[in-house]
Amino acid sequence: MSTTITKIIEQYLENELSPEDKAAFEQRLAENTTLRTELERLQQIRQAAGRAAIRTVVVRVGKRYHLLRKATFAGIAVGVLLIVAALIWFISGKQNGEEERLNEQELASLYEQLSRKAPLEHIPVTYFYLQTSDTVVLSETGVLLSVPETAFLLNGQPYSGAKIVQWQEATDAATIVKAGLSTVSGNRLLETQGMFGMQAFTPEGKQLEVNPKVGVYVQVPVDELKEGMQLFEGKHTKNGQIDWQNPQPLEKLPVMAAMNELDFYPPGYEAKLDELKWKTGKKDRDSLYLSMEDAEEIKESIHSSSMNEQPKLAQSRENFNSTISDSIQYSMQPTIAISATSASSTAGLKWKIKFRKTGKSSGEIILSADLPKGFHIFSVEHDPMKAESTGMATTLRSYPSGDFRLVGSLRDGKQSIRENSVLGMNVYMLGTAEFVQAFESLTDKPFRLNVELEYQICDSRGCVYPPVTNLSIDIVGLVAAKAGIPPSKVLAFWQPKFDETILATRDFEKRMRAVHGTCSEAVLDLYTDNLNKPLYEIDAQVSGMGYAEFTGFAAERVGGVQLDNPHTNNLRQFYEHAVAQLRKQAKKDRNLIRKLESGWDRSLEKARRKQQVNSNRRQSVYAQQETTFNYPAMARQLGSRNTIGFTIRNGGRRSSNLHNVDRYARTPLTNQPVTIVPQPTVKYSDFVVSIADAAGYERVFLYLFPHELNSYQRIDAINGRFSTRLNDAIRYDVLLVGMNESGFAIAEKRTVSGGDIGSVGLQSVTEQEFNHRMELLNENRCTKPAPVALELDWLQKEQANYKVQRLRMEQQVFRDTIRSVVFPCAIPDSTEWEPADDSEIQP
Amino acid sequence: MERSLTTQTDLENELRTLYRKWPMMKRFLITIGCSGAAAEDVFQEALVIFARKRTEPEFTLTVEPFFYVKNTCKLLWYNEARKQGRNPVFALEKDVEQQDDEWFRKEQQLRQVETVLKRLGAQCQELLQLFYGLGWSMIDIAKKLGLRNDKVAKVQKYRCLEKARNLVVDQEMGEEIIVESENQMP
Repeated sequence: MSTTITKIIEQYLENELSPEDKAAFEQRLAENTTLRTELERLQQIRQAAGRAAIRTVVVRVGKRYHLLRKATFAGIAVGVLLIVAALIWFISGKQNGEEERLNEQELASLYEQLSRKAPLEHIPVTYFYLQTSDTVVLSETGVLLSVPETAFLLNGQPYSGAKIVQWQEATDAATIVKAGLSTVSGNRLLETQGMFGMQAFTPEGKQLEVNPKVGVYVQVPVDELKEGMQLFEGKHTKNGQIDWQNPQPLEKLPVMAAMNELDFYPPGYEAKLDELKWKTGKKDRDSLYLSMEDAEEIKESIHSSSMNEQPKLAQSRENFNSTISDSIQYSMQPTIAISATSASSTAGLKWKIKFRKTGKSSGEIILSADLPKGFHIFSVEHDPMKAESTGMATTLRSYPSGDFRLVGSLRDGKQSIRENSVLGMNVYMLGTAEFVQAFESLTDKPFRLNVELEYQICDSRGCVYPPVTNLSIDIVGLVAAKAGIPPSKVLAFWQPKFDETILATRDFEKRMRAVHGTCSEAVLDLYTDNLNKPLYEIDAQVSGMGYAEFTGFAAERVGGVQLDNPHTNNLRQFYEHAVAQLRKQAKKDRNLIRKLESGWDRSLEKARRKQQVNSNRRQSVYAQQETTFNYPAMARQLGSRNTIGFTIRNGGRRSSNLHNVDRYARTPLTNQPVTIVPQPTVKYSDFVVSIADAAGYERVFLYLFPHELNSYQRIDAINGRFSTRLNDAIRYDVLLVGMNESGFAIAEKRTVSGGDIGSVGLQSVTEQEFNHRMELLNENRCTKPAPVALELDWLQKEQANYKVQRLRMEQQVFRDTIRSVVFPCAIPDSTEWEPADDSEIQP
Repeated sequence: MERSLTTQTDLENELRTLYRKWPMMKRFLITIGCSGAAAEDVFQEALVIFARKRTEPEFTLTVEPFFYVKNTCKLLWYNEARKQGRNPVFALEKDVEQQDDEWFRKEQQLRQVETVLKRLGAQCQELLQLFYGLGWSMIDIAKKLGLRNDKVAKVQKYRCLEKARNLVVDQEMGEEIIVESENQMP
């Protein structure tokens, strides 16, 4: 029924009703509120459907927008560029501009048109649509184009804005031949490694020229590296051929290699492990390497828990706790804020300087200041050359000091704004200024870090002349950098993410060996922080730091992997992130090890404590039982009547019992006055036994299983000899137990009653056998043997402990060996580290 | 048909132009306290509102479309923030505040109905959108959707409307719950 109503309303709204029906409907509408509600509802639905249609369009437009943007960036994240050998590219002769074509949505048809003008005929054309801010593109085939801001000229003027880059490549013989391309330069034949065509257009279809000052950087993967390749320019000749002219030598490019093919371990690390026949997997070796970081902390906790006496264990737990609180303290290391003294009084900003610890011996100072309203400060990345010589990048210098050295250069502490205006590219910060400078401590003592900050602030009216501000901050809690290259830092970049950087090169691999030799984190930082610099520049810088072997490297003049900024910046950010992650992981691993170890210690201690309680209880029970047993004998002896009923089998069967009483009566056991009652006594005999080869066991015990009592008694050895006294009225079974790492060894003596039975050899048994024998002995006794399981439990725990402790000791020796390889500069004596650690703990 | 197609192209062009300002708009929205994740929703809603408004015969733009959208964004976020019980970190300028309050409120109501329509089948959604939104004829819709002829399409339209009506009634019944869950949205 409701269907018809909806239908009728819809027909009414669509004006599809006959005049009569319409009148009737309106009549009812006036009378019926429900109908009116339905009508409104349907109107809403109709409008909402219209709205949904518009939203569909909006969403589609949005998707398209993001896709276009993403398309140009996508490659950066995934691209794997392997060997770049030689490039030959040419810029086709300038063609006449074409009529304006503004419609972006007709991009496809524009592309089609442009394709007709492609410089290389019959070769597929790829287009990159670059937004103004896009500077690097990576095609699916691995072609990388770096197109800086001013890479192109339009009518002789630098062009910035969206651009379409048309790209063609012919790298294999088949394509070249199919396309009818020639490889002739004048009269000389060329061997080609590939031909490439590139043109650029505005989105309107206007042809752009390459700015000769900036250029477009192209990297093309090729299969084989050929020496002596040069870059030729192609000129169309009249007969339709291409003549290749104007050869340019290629810049010497670093030899790229996939990260997993490179070796960045300290020299000798793998060799040593191989020698020790250690695991060969990269993962295992990485994790061992990583675990070497802060190894001294682990060492401490191992050493103190390697003894098995109770007090030491307690200490180990204490230690464990203190290491934990150390690390908390470490992470909560207070940042010290000192408002700096500003040298410039009027224009200067009020700078705040903070210290953040980033490692044992490294830290960062964070400089921040509130900018006056409307003012901006230039980023460290601001380049006046790109901004019509305006603006001045913020810089920081330090006074020469033996206490610290700066690592890398000043960085922006927050995202700066990039603005392309009439004055070129301005990179600046608004609101607050924030900069970060890393440094490394060269001393264990607190020191004052003095730096000089130079900057310029501007507003729309103009700029304040560069003020120089002296800033200083007291640094405490750092130790002198000395140990070597932290494994976490090496592993952080040793992964595929860095495959396209100078780090993933054979050249850097070679340098890395020398870097390990310098033991200077700062040297490594220079390479990892300057991914966009040519290698030779960094080499020279390192050699300037006094490391002579790098002078040779610098002379090689190996260039850099010149990906443009967005890329290297991304990687740098990733690098920093990765270091943090790895550190966290290392800490987690270390903590886990500690936890396991302390967990072990704790459970052992628990077992021990339980054992203690049990044995105490057992002893008291034993004593009580013995007293009870002795009682009838005494009663008999005294001739008094006892009213308590006993069931003692074999009781009084031994006449010798009585025989000996006299002696005891004559020798009172206590100083009770003899006058009151004759002292009831029991005859005891000495029992002595020793274990042959007692030294072969970590621990030996003797167990007494009295036949008449449902208890048992453990006797500990003194110098491998057991000496106890046995009640002459009781028959005992004796079990001798020796424990060592490999298991249990036992010997049984049935029904002994005093005397020196001399030396007994033990016989190794399996754990099951041991359990079984003990059960048997236990069964052999009176009706209610005390549970033996608890005792067994403890025994096994004790036994296992030897193994754990010994493994820990051996592990430590192993780690010490490897450690000296990983940290060649570390002082081998571990005590050297402790004062340093102590000083770190102090707030 | 001819007309509506060109209108659609016009609309898309205009929207594309506006969408290029998205990074700027995002920055703006973030500065007034909108989360980055929610920003695009707000922006798209503002575009929807703009697109609807511009078809109204008596509507004349007094400002650049970009500023109209920007103000709408601001207004939308202002309402959203208030709904979430947060104190907006900014005040509305007079001109923004006066932006056709009643009409704006109705738009927000329609947005709810629109959300309800999302629960319809894909074919129903497309049919209703093509018919009411883009003004396609039943013949074209039948072709597009692979229906035998326009009569079948029309019957289908009634069915879809009926389903939509039931969904809306359901939603009205459970209004509170839905409103509440809407509030959860960022």
